[in-house]
Amino acid sequence: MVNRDTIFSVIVILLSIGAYIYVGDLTIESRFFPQVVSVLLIIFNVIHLIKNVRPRERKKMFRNIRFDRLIAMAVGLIVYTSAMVYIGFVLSSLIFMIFYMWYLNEERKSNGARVLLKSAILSIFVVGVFYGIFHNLFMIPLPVGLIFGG
Amino acid sequence: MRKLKFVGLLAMVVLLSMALVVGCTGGQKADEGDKAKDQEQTAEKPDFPTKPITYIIPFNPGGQSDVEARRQQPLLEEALGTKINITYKAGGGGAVGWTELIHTKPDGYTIAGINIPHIILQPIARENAGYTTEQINPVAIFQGTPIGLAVLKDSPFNTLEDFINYAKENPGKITVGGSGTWSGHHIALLQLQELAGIELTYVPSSGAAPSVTQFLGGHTDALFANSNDLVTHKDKIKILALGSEERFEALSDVPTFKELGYEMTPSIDRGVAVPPGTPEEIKSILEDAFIQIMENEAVREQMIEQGFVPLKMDAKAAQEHINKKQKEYSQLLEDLGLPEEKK
Amino acid sequence: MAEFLQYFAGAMGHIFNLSNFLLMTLGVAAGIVVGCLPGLTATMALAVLVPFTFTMDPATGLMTLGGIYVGAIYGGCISAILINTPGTPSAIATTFDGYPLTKKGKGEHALVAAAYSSGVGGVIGAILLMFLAPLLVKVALKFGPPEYFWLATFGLTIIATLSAKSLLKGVIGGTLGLLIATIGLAPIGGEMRYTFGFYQLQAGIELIVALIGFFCVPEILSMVEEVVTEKKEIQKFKSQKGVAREVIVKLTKQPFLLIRSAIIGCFVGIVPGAGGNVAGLVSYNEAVRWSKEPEKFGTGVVEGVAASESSNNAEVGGSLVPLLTLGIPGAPPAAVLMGALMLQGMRPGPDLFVQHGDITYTFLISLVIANIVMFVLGFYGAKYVARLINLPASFLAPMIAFMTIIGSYSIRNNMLDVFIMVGMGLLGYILRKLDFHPGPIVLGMILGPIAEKGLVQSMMLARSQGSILEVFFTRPISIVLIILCLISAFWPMISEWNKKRRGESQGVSSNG
Repeated sequence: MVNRDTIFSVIVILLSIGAYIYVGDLTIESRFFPQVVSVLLIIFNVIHLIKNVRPRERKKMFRNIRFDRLIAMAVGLIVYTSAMVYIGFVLSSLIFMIFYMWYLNEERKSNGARVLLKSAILSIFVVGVFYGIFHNLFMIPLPVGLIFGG
Repeated sequence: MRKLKFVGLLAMVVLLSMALVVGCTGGQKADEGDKAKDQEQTAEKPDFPTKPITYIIPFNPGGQSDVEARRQQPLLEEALGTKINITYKAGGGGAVGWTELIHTKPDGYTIAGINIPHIILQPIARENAGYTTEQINPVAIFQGTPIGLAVLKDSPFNTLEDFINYAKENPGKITVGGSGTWSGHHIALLQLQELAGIELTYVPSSGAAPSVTQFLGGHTDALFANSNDLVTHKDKIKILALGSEERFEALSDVPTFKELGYEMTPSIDRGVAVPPGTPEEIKSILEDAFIQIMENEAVREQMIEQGFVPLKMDAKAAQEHINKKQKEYSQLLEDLGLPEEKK
Repeated sequence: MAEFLQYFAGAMGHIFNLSNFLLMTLGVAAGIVVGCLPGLTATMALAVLVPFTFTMDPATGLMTLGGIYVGAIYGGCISAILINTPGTPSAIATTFDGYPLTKKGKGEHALVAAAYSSGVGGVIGAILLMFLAPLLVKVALKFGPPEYFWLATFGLTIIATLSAKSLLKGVIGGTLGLLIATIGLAPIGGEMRYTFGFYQLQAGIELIVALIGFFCVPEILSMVEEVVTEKKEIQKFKSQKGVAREVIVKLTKQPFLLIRSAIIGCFVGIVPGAGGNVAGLVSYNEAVRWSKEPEKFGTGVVEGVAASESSNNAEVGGSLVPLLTLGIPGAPPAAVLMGALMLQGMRPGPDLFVQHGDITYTFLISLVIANIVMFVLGFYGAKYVARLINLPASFLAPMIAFMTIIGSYSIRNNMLDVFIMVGMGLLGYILRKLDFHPGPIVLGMILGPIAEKGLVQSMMLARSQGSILEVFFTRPISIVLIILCLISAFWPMISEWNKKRRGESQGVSSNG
């Protein structure tokens, strides 16, 4: 009875109730649409909940995958983005790219140093090219990082 | 031996990366360092600008603020001797861009286009617009777009009087389009309602262009529109009145609200501002550059042809104008009890 | 007509002037490159490159800008096909069949199909623009608030087609998208919703940020989590001879597919505010409905790619209709073009054809040529571009991740967007594991604001005119749209029922 679909629906129902209440003090023009949508969401998820209350065969969610790499990448994205705020675009991108090109490469177990070098060169090249295109050609200022006074 | 190789490589990688980082971002720091030194030495005339200036447009590209900025860009670059980079930060009717502005360093290297009455109305109407009107530090106001009331050619109304009389007898029946809620058009409608004692139904859109399209398609009975839109479509519409101080060249046979007895001058004015705390000397260098543009004959002619009123307000005049309008509008809103108190 | 021929001759002179032609081609190429990078849109490409055109004379400048626009809209399909990330929102529907094709090793097929359909669609759109603009604009103006509402609702019924496996999940996804789109400034009420103190959210969640998050990040994670043994076989692109010929012949045998998609695209384009995002999706939906083998869509058929790409390039022509005839841009890139026109001293509007006829016609005809140039570039480039998929995941995954970060930042120069992108990415990954397709969610996000504006404005009109029923249900275009909604929403059910019926009668006769 408690499976991923039912948990999902319960969460969404709670969120929708919250959404409905949150816009409560706005004018009717502003809150009409979000409230209608919240109600619809609640209705659909109640149906979904009822449909999935009965246990049934489900594919394993994380069947046969390399969980360690998955988590590493997911966490990596979060750390990369957070780091960018402090140390700037170029540094955080370099660290991210070099690390993951090295980490994801199967050959690093046998030839670690070489893989690291390859990753470094490629990363510096890619980051350099993109920085050039975005900063100099499109004139989009990329984050400099708080610790550098950005 | 293996380990040593690894460490050596790692060190090389780190050094190479640092070189890249310094190369890309260090350039900027170096400039700032020089500038600080210069400022200390020559207190009278700061060495400004020494690097490109960012001109924030708080709206989408292609919009009127963008067109103006692009008109000014080559002239500014010449007057100031540096590159001008136009960047877009649209959102919240301009609020996102203005909030960014007040948080940037007040060193004169970031300026932003501003719009009156937006910068006045948004902080009043919203709990948290991200900025307050007082934080906007104006440098110049160079363009006015008086707002006019228009109906289609086949409408039964021929004068403002016809319109108002019908409205008096049929409160709420006339639908009037405009660019949005708490926009210059909305205020114009509120002012007209109060001064004429009538009730209209305002149908806001999300921008001037959609409101014009809807009106041309006959979906609203009337429209509050900017002078340039009125000029573009003048052969399809009848303009009942215009919110300029005096009659406007490009629409010379349109009476002003004032001359018809309604004390209102609704208009969307465009200017530029810098973050609060920008040093006066730097501000006046920017101001001079804009004054040059405002006096440029070619620019003035182009503006009039497209339906804009060229203005020439320097920093002081601009601030006075903003203060005046702020008093006018906050008084109006207070009288009407708007925005509604939250329950 | 005589006038037209006169202009035509002049236009030919401008277009086939060598430097103009080269610049236009360069524009198309630049547009393709920008379009294929997720995060950089056609609008941005135009905005950045407009200043370069100041120094050119009007005809040259316009030709170049037109080339960029055409190229960018096509370019979006490249990343859509190769990494399941629409490079521009107009290419969303291209991912539905484009990426599965790449996974089957048929990336080149998809790219050639996209190039060919984009070219055909674009040419049709440009021709419709040239000859029917004044007529089309009359139709566009008839779209008032109720029509926008029904158009958006029609768009939402496409969810029925996209959620082959579970209609309920699709509907939930779409509704979630609707809710997400309410974040920010209320379009009519003018008040802030769900911004929680973040001033950057006043503008709401940027569509492209959500696209990159929902479509791309889950793919990066899938790439990374794959078990080594399978990796060698998947995505290996083998260069085959004659792919291009095969695809073109296949598509040419189905002219209705391309023509219908182009017409849909052009019409959606003329309605200001509907935008290219919707054109591809509507056209895809129709392609599924009209096909004899609808189940194949979504598994990787070139027809899916063709439907989407043909219509989004035709939409370019459509978006220029209200711009050139009324001075009202039909889509954001058209708005930038309008700015460029005004700076050249040409005011778009009814006078444009009269006062600047020769330049205007030059521009229009150059659009046709630009589409052909784009087809050639895409066609020949397809083979080489498709090979990029062969790079190992250890390189591709970080590289694509890097591009998503830089792309989502560039939209509004806003770090919060990057965080939102990552957040949506992880959410999208989980949703995918729960069998929710990102298509309906994104559809909800795109159509939500259009539906809301239409709904609330219509209710305001009704308030003044007295009758809600009258406003929503008695207008001619609304009625047409309502019928389309009903057909589209119930189509999957009707076709199921039809199939069963056919199956039963056959069963009876074979037994009897």
